[in-house]
Amino acid sequence: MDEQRREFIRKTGLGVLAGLGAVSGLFPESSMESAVASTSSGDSASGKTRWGMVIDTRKCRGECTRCIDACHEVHNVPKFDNAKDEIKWIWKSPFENVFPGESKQFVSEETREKSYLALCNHCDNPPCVRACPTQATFKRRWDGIVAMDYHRCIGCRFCMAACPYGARSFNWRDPRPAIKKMDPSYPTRERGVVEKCNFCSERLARNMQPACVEACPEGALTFGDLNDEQSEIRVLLDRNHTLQRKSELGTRPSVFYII
Amino acid sequence: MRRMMKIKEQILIFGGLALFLFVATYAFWQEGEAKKIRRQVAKSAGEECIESREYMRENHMLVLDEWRHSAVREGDRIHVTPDGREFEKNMSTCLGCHTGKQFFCYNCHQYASVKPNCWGCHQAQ
Amino acid sequence: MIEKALKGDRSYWGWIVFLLFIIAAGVYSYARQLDTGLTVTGMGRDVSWGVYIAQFTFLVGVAASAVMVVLPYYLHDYKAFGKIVIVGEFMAVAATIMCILFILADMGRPDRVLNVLLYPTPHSMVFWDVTVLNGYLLLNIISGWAVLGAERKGVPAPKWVKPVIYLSIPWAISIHTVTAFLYAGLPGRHLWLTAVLAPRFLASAFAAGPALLILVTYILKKTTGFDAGKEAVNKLAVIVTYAAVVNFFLIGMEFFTAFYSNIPGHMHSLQYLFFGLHGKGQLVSWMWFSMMIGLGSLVVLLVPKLRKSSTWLIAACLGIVLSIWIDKGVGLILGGFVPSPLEEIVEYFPTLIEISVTLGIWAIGIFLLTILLKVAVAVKTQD
Repeated sequence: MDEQRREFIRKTGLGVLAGLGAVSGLFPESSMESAVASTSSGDSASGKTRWGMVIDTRKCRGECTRCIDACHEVHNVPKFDNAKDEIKWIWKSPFENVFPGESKQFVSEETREKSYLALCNHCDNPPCVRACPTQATFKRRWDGIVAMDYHRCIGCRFCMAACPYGARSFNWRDPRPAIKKMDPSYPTRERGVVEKCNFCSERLARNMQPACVEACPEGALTFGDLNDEQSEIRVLLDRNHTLQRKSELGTRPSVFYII
Repeated sequence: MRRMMKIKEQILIFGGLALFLFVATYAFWQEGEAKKIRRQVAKSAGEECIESREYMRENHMLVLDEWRHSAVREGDRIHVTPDGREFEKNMSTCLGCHTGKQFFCYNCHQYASVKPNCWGCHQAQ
Repeated sequence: MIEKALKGDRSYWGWIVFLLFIIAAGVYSYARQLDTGLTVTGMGRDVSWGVYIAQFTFLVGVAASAVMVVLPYYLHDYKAFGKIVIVGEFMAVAATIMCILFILADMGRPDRVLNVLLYPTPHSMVFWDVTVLNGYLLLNIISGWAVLGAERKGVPAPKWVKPVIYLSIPWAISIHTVTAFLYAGLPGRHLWLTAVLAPRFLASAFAAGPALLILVTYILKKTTGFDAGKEAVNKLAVIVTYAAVVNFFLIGMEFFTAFYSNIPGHMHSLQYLFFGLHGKGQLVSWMWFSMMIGLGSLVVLLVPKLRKSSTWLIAACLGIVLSIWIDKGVGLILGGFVPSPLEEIVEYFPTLIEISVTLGIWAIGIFLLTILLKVAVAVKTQD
């Protein structure tokens, strides 16, 4: 018996080791070496498109909500009058909420008073995609947009727990009664699935700018291909000091802020 | 006496089985001609569909699913027919020709007792 | 074998009817939830998981803890656990089924649950959790039923059962480890982002599970006269004691790391749970109650004389189960969401419907356990 037991323990140990080895081979992309390189420095491979956005907060006026209204209208985002059921693709919050890790001492009055735009960051290394059990949310190979497949989402809300930016909303109830003006050219969602900003992929397919970018009267939002050195967005990034939200988490957001 | 019982039992058992089989397969004994439904044939806006009517009647759901998959997940938004015509992979492409989902979709689906939930999200323009 | 569950006295049937009543209420509430959506719960945009996922987490621990009787009995040939091992296995079966039901209750689109298997996604921890939980359920049903069936016929258990049982031992560890990975790998949720989460889960499971098992054996003794044996209960009590020591030690580690490093994000959730943050602290009294009763019970367990007295042991086991249920089944999940990623503090209160569904699932689990144990006891006592 004792001999048998020892043999069992030895074999189990070997099995576990073999399993670990196999698992590390399963995930070449998340192996240790690449994790170091992909934290906050280093740019992604060129050749493919990687859509991104620069938000010039100096130009953004605090009380203006034109971009939010435009987005929520074209995407049939419902408006509930309670915070619990709330669904939002793009919204404004104070500095300390949008940038919780950033400086909190002796902050200028302007920064303190102003509100800042927040939306899905379309991360290059998205934790929501890692967490999703059905690949209902996935990063598009060809342009880096973190997309939702509403037909596949099972409503487990793992992506909501995984997103460090609060960018995702769940349809706690039927959204249709709460949509003020229905835009027939874009589908609504059904209750029970998660939704979020899609970088206006339906408009990009028609060579149009995202609705928020187009709606901004101050030209505070710039959209473009981060992998194209000639693009307007890269020129802006070259000439200005910019911030990404919670860059220390290694998610590599594609939305940049000029403060 | 016991023999008699046995025969009676057997009649009961096999008679019951035959009755059950008859009832269970009753639907298949009918001559296989479905009742015709009155249905408004889609008013086509002139253009021909991506496939023959027979093919679409049987496979439109597969076509839609394939379209959805390739457009949403692969970024391939254009359907090219064998004779070179191009269509955008979009529900509105279908509804652009087949107007009036009331007749075009509902009648048939109701008849076949299928309840797709397309209209839970998509809207007819 | 199952027919043995159909023979019982009045109190047995009374208990069954009582459970069915709670199940019916839960089914009704769940129908309401299916009809209107998860808005009928207290969950919302900021606290997007609640009681359901919290119960799931606690119960995975209960399921995993069966290993604490299986391992000594089958691997170390510890004969004293001979009568209790089937109770542990059946408790694991009931707990695993409850886990699966709680996950289903929490889903926005339960009709699409098979998508998890249709589109297997190895980089998602949920995929692994679904796999190991269902596997564990199978392993326990198969081995428990086969061993019991052999015992009824008075023959030795078939040979193939041994490897199945051996496999269930590392498997039990894996279910709770993977459950911890569900939370521990998420960036931006500081309370969960800790390497000791899986060890903590295992320690709390090996304390709360065997404590629950001790309570169940006392109930069995009282209601059916089935005695698992003094030695078995004493040994279980020792297991509970050591596991509880490790559990509270690991909780202490969390406090040290957060507060000595003084990193705001790491402190916030603990501050919210134990002291309140920005004037909000609905869970403060719960958490302190959990600590007090947990540590108090531990003191009782540490004294051999008290541990061997059945009155004190029952009280201490109740205390440990309650303490860990609050810590894992209330604090840990809710604390992960407060403050939110945007550092807002939104509080969560479960609704009546949510509580009714939760009670319904617990009742289903207890119902199953009752029936399984009824069969087991009938076989063991040659009834």
